[in-house]
Amino acid sequence: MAITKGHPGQPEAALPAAREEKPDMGRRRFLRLATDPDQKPPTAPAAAPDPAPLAEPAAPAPAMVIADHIRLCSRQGRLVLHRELGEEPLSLPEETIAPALDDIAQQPDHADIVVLAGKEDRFYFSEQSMTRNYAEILLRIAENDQARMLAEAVRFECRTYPRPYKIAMLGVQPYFLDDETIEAILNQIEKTDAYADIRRITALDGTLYLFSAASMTQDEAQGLCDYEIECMQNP
Amino acid sequence: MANGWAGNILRVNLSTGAISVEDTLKYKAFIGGTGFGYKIMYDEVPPGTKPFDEANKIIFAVGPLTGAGAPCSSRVDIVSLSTFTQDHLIVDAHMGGFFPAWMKYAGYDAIVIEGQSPKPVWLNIHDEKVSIEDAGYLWGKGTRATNDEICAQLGAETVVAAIGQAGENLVPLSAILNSRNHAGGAGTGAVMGSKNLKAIAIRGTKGVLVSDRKALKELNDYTLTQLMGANNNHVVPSTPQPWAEYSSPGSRWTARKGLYWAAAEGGPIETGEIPPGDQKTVGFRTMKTVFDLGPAAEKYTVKMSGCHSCPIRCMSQLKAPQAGKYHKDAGFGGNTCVANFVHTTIFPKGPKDFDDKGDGRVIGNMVGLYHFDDYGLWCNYGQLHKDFTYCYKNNVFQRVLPEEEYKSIPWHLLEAGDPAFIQDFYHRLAYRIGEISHLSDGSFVIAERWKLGEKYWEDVETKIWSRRGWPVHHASEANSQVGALINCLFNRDPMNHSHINLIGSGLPIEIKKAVSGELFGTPDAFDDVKNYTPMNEGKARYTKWAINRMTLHNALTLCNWVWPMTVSPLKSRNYRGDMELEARYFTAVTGEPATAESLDLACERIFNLFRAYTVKCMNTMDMRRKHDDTIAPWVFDKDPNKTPFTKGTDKMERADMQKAFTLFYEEMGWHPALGCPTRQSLERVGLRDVADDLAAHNLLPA
Repeated sequence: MAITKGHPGQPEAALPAAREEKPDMGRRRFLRLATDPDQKPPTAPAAAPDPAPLAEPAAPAPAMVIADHIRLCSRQGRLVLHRELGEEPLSLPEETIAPALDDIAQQPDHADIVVLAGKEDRFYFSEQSMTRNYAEILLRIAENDQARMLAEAVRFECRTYPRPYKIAMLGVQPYFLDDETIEAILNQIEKTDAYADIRRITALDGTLYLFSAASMTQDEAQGLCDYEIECMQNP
Repeated sequence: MANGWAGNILRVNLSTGAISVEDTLKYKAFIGGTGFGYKIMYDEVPPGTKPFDEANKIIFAVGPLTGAGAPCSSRVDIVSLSTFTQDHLIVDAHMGGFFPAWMKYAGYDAIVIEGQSPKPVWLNIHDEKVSIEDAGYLWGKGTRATNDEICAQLGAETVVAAIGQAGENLVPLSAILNSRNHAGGAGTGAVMGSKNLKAIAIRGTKGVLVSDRKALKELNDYTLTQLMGANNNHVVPSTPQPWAEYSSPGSRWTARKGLYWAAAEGGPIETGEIPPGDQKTVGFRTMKTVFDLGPAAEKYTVKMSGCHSCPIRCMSQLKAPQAGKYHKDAGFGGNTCVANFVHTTIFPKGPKDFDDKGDGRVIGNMVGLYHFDDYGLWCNYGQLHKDFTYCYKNNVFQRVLPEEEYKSIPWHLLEAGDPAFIQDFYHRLAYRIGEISHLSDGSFVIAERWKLGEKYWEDVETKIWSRRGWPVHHASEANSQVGALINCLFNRDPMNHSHINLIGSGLPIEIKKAVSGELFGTPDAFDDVKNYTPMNEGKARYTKWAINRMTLHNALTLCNWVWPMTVSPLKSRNYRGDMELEARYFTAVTGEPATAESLDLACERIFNLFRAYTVKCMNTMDMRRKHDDTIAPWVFDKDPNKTPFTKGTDKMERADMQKAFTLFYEEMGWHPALGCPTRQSLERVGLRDVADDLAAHNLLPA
């Protein structure tokens, strides 16, 4: 059985001949749904035609439309920008948006909808499926000020856990940055006065971290970086 | 048959061939597992017995929750005498896989092996039918071939716990293997070998009676949706994810976008974002292949596997044809944790890569792991390999090996990072070939035999914890005095994860300290990483809690790598776990009302029995000086430019450690100076007979 190309699979190799049963792909489909945010949920089967047609239901209120859209996007792992509310797919008339947002702010049913103020726009998310900490990460990614994005991430980790920030984390979700970009960001940080508290540090095995001198000393940061290596050696 | 317990303890005397069954009920005060093992050893194996003596016993004991349907409950405690630490005192090994559950399904709470067979045998258990079979045709085979031969005879549903050549040859660092890769270490393989017992094969057709099945199901739903995290109960993901308030790169909750079981049958499976709340996806959270072996392991990952009844699935399953070039069966395999990655740590320049950067760690370890588990070797939590590295770097081999032997060892392969070196090395260990094979006698022996000197005990990288011969295992680097105390009290490394699971949970320090305050009376019981404070009474309570929980898990049985559920992944629970959970499971399964407090008392009973037996076998009350205070000097002397209790170091202070011993002894009700149990502490937990026994031997303080 060959592995489909394009996936991070292994070199083609024949499976043992003795194995004949195939995996049940019907069961696999469930798991794809759980992990693929772009996959639409299965739709309910079409109902049989009703011999006595009902009156058309009223269109949902703009507040509900916006709130449900925000919730859907949050389930998919993304924020909603304010300017999107007037664009496809919602295409809400400009004059309905502000009142709808006011409704959302006041109704207990929409208490999960949170607004974050960015530099140039507002961002919305639902706490039903997204935490504020994650939403703030997405906001900083969206604003494309990568130096600030990284500096704030470093400061957060040093204050909260506390631990230095492992640079390799920029290569995986939600950042997915390449090495060249990461190096450029590090250089930008080092040139910017506002980020003077952010320092580089290297663990025992050469892994690169950043720490904020506002939250920890060099010695403390070094001890914590090395601790992560020690944990891997003695898991 | 009662609810939970099977009701039977199987005794097999290999000297006489006698097979008998006794009622479990007489041991119920000790719950099961480790409690049964310690009780039987205390009552029946006299002090002065050595591990390979006919009078030694090896006890496989499970508990009322084993096989009953509680999560992570297929664990067996294997109790015997140590083959590798000073004085050869009582130790237990812990084995998962399918063997523990199968013991219960065959109708046994414990299997007690006594005596010594005059010739190689294996034990055939099929419910009530138990027979001793000739193992002449199995002797000399590895654990895999032994398993295959017996299953070919009895059927694929048979579970076989076997020793390999290492156990047969009485290698002190040897193990018993079941279900391919699940090992019970601590030299138990050699104890079985000394009895000429090659394997125990079990078929079981019974079930486990459960008092309240509805309550059990509700508890499982609750545990799997609200409390359980990933491996080691890490409760945050390793990357920022929408559902999670916190994350940690060190977390074993590795599932994320872009991380695949890339060699899965039918096509790669993305682990993806696995928020808590869906019990069907728990098994995707932990991808031990990349966690243990690095990013290169992703392309070789078929899936994750694990023990009976465990949703965590911490056992790697890898497929790498390059490993198959070294041995035809090494291309498929995997294990977890140290067993997964330790083999290539002996290469001074790292393992050689094959096709991709970093794949040498995968392929080299698959080759090493295959032979290690097939021979039935045991690494002593990686100390075997650290000792090898110490001896290689410090030219000990050149000094102690005969010239001819030294020249016969392919050192060029070691320098090249070639897995063929590992094959040669493990072969020598398993067959006791040459002086180098004494490495697998253990650290205590080689330190003396090879005159390693004080420099060995001072070496920070070698990480030997106790001069009595066991390594660091979540010691001073894990909550300072708490981890240090835990590592002093047993007769091997403690295998205790109660504290490290909380430390590594991934939650912010504020939450961990708050939990500490709730459990131990003060947030100051919990020191942050390398930010230590002097000993206090809260830390003594924390230490006792950690030991009680581990003892409870080894008695019930539950996997202490996942339990206790001290914290939760749910913000809606304020990240709090449930410390009554074990008691609720106990009640649901056995029908006997229990609380965390009542089970704690039973655990103190078990641990005091262990302590008393150690006192008796050492023939001393001075446990502080002779047993506990044997910490290697590097623990106090590392980081020479730093002082204890400053940020950035986990260096300990000698005087403070003495205070730690005193406060812990007081917490246990032991003699505060000597550290031995007192009549009061023993009678409080229902061990008056033990108190009387110690008194009769002048081993009870006045």
